[in-house]
Amino acid sequence: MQERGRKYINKETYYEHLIDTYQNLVFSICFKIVNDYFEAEDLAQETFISAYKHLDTFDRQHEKAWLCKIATNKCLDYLKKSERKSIPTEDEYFLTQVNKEPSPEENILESEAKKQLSEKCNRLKSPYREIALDYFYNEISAAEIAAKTGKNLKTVQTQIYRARLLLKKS
Amino acid sequence: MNDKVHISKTDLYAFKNNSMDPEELMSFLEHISECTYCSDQFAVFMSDDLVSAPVDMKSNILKAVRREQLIKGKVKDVSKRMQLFIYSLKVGAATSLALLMLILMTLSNTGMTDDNFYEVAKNDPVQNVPITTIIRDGMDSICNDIIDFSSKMIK
Repeated sequence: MQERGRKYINKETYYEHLIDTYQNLVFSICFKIVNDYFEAEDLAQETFISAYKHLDTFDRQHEKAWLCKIATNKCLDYLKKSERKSIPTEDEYFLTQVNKEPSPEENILESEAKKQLSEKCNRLKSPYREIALDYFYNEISAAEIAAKTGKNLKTVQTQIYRARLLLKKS
Repeated sequence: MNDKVHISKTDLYAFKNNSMDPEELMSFLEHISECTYCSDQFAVFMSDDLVSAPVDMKSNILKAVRREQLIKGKVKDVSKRMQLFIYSLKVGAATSLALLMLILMTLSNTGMTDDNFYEVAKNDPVQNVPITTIIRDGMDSICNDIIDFSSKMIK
């Protein structure tokens, strides 16, 4: 979207544009800082909700930096509140020292997130494991899961909801 | 990291490789959360290695925003009703005060106090004037005063 045009579009459209453009960036920042897939999702959501509340006073300039500041603040609050700072273990520290400057092509964070998500899903008991793997890991919609498994859509939605709660706790 | 110094490439790579100790990490994040230049640098750096956000994140955000708007709307509605209640109270109080002043003024114009008004009215048939007449006279005198005052203001 052209920078000049942004000022003239309505609040709702602009807000959706912000989510579409920056949701991956905000989620990545949160995931990198807190190192937990579902906490990162919550923090990214909080970031966008907070952005909406302050959208009327935002001058629509430097939106990337603005969202990044909000996300960092949310993560800082989370770290301070829970004291769940991600301190690397000794093994991790030396492992990371080897590839000090990874090339931009290597999508390390994405693989880390996917690996963590898969591990979390696989720790659940049936039927939540299958539901979580399909919905969160393979990104299959609730309707498609219902069609695939022959379950009622409401049942699938309830199982997704419960699986999410279990994954957050794990 | 000094708060006044912007973050460097080394800081960014140290963050990416998890080689910052907790104090360094907190200081690094605190600086980014306050500095627009560094948060922009940080965002550009992070854009090289993105994680796809969960598929339903956008719909969940929009749902949460709508829920907040709904709550805000309800609070606004309650506050409007509260404002109306306070306004009614004010109008009621002002009316009562105006009536009280009217009666007191009428009594003072006729040279009577609360104590002797009823006594005089009982004993003296000439003074035995109905209260409605007294109020009407009082209102006439107030109206005349207001008209005089406004005429003076216009002049």
